[in-house]
Amino acid sequence: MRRDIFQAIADPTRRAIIGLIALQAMTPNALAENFQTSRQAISKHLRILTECKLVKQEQQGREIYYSLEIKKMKEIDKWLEQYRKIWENRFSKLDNLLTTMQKPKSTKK
Amino acid sequence: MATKNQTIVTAEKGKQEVFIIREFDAPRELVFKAFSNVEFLEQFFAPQNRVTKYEYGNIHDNGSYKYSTLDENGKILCTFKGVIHEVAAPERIIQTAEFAGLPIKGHVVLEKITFESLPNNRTKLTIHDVCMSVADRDMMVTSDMERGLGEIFNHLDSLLLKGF
Repeated sequence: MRRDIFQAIADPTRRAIIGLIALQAMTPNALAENFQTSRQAISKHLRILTECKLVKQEQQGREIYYSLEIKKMKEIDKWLEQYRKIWENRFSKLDNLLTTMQKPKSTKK
Repeated sequence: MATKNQTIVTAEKGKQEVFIIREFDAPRELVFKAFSNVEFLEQFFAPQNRVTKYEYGNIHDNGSYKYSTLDENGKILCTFKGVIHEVAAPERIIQTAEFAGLPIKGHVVLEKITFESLPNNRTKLTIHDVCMSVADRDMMVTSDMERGLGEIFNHLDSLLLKGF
């Protein structure tokens, strides 16, 4: 399965988790209190976020605290390029469309 | 295609606007036609491996539109809607756009699409989007909503703005 930053933010619960731990390091239990879902579901999301290298864990006594991997978040800085590519792709399809739109006229000449 | 037309996207840090600029090897009337007819929009507007479907699209003065982007299985990834402020054929279209999936309403984008005639039957297209806040703007270009990636939380956007 894909494990990158975009996979990490693809899910609304994971985005919410990112939002929460961006403010402060939190334990899975503390995080789970903010959601309707089970503690297990939160753990699963945390595992995916960890696999995407978007969060880091830190053991403090018996508790594991999760915090945001700031450096990794910076990958989102590539966003403008992603956005540009969406438009580039659209426009190249439009190029083809414009060519076909022009055809009937030129054949009728 | 004789030349490769570059797609230019500019989004200055700390501003509410985005410019998307592209030239086409086709006359202005034709490019305008492609942007003002649902039938054509559906053929090119969807990102890769996606389908754009209009629920309604009346691209004329005081018109309105609503379209969804679907994945290859027909699942709706996101829906956008807006009203058409002005259609001045073949020069410009001014409209609003709102991502219908957001939990909070009111994050509307004002969009001006300008079509300029260039020599040799070419056309320059400029899409000028103005968002209601810098955070909205950043979310729009960041979140890649059309690929089903959804929005990113506001404080995350502000973190990005500050460059951490």
